[in-house]
Amino acid sequence: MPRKPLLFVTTFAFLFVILTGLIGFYAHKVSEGPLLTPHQTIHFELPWENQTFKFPEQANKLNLFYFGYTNCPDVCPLTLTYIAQSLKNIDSQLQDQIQVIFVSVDHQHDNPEATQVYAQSFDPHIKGMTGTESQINALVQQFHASYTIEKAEKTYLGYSVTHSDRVFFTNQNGEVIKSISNVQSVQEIQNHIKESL
Amino acid sequence: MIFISRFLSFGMILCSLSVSQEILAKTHSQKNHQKSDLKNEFKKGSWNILNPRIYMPRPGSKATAGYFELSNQSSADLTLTVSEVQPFARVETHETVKENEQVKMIQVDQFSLAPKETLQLVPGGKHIMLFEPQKPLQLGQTLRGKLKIQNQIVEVDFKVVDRAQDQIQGQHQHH
Repeated sequence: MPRKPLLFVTTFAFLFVILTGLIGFYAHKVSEGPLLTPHQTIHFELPWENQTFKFPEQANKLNLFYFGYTNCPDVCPLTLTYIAQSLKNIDSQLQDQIQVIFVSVDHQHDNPEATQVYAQSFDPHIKGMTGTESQINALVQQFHASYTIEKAEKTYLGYSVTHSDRVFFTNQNGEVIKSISNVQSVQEIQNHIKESL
Repeated sequence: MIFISRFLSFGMILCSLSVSQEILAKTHSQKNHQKSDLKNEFKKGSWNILNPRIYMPRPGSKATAGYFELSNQSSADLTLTVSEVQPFARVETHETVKENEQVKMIQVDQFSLAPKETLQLVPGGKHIMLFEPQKPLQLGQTLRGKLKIQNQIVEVDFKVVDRAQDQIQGQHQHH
C-alpha cells in the first residue's frame, strides 16, 4: 500500500477513536451529572415520627435523597413516582436494603407529620422529613443542592419554590456515591439502584 | 412417502401460522378497543381535547395537577384558559421550567396554540394546577371543568386517575 493512503487511514482511525471516546465520556457526564460531592459524608438530624432521625447512624445500605416540597404538583411527585415504582420492581430482599428520604425545603409551610404522610403515599420505603430553616439549609449545602422560596402573589399558594432536581445516592456510611438529575423513567432509576447495591 | 410427509408438515406450518395471525389480530383489536374506551375525547368545530385527567390528590399536599391534549385544527391562533374544575378551590395554568439543574413552576395566564398545533399538557411540562378539593375525591370519578377556548366557555369532564398508573402508561406509549 502506498504511504499516503496508509497515513490517511491511520490518522482517520486515531481521530475516530479519540472522538468516540470524547462523545462517550460527555454522554456519560450529561446523563449522570457531575458528582458534586465525591465521598463526602452527610450528617444531619431531623424530626421524624416524633423522634430524631440521625444520619448516617440510621442509614440503610443504600440511601436516596430528593429535595422538593409537598405542594409541588408536577416534578416532585413525578420523580417520587418513578422512585416508588422502581422500588416495587426490585426484589423484596433488595427493597429492605434501600431507604428513600424526601426532604421538604418548604420549611415555612410543611411540617414533619404532613411531609411523612405525603412521602408514604408513594411507597412505605420513602420517608418524608423537614425541619427548621437552618437544619434544611445545612443539609442542602452538604449535598451542594439549592433552593429558593419567592413570593408569587398571583398564585393561590402565594409563593413559588425553585429547587434542585437531582436524586442523590449515599452508601451505608452516609457517603455520596452518585447523583442523577432530571430522572426520566422508572428503568433509569432502577438501573442506578441495582448498580449501587 | 417423503413427499406426503413434507406436504403434511408444510400444511401444519401454514395452519399454525394462520391461527397465530388470527390470535394476534384479535389481541391487537382488543387492545385498540380498550385504548379507545380509555380515551376521553371532546370535539367541537376546529379543536379537539383528548384524555383530560386529574391526578388523585395526595394526603399532606394542597395541590395536584391535571393534563390533556388540545389540538387546534383551524388556520387561526387559539388561546386556552381554565376557569374552574369542581370541587377544587382554584385552578391555574402552569409550566414547569428546568434551568441549570433547578426546577421551577411558572404561572401563565393562558396557553396559546398556533394554527394546526397540538398542545400537550404532560408531567414535567405544561399543566393545570388544582388546589384544595372541597370534597373527598375517588379514583375513576369525573369532574366537570370549565375551559375558555378562544373566548368560548367549554365544559369538559376530567377523570380522576392514579398518577403511577398514568405515568407508567404514558412512559410505555412514548417508547
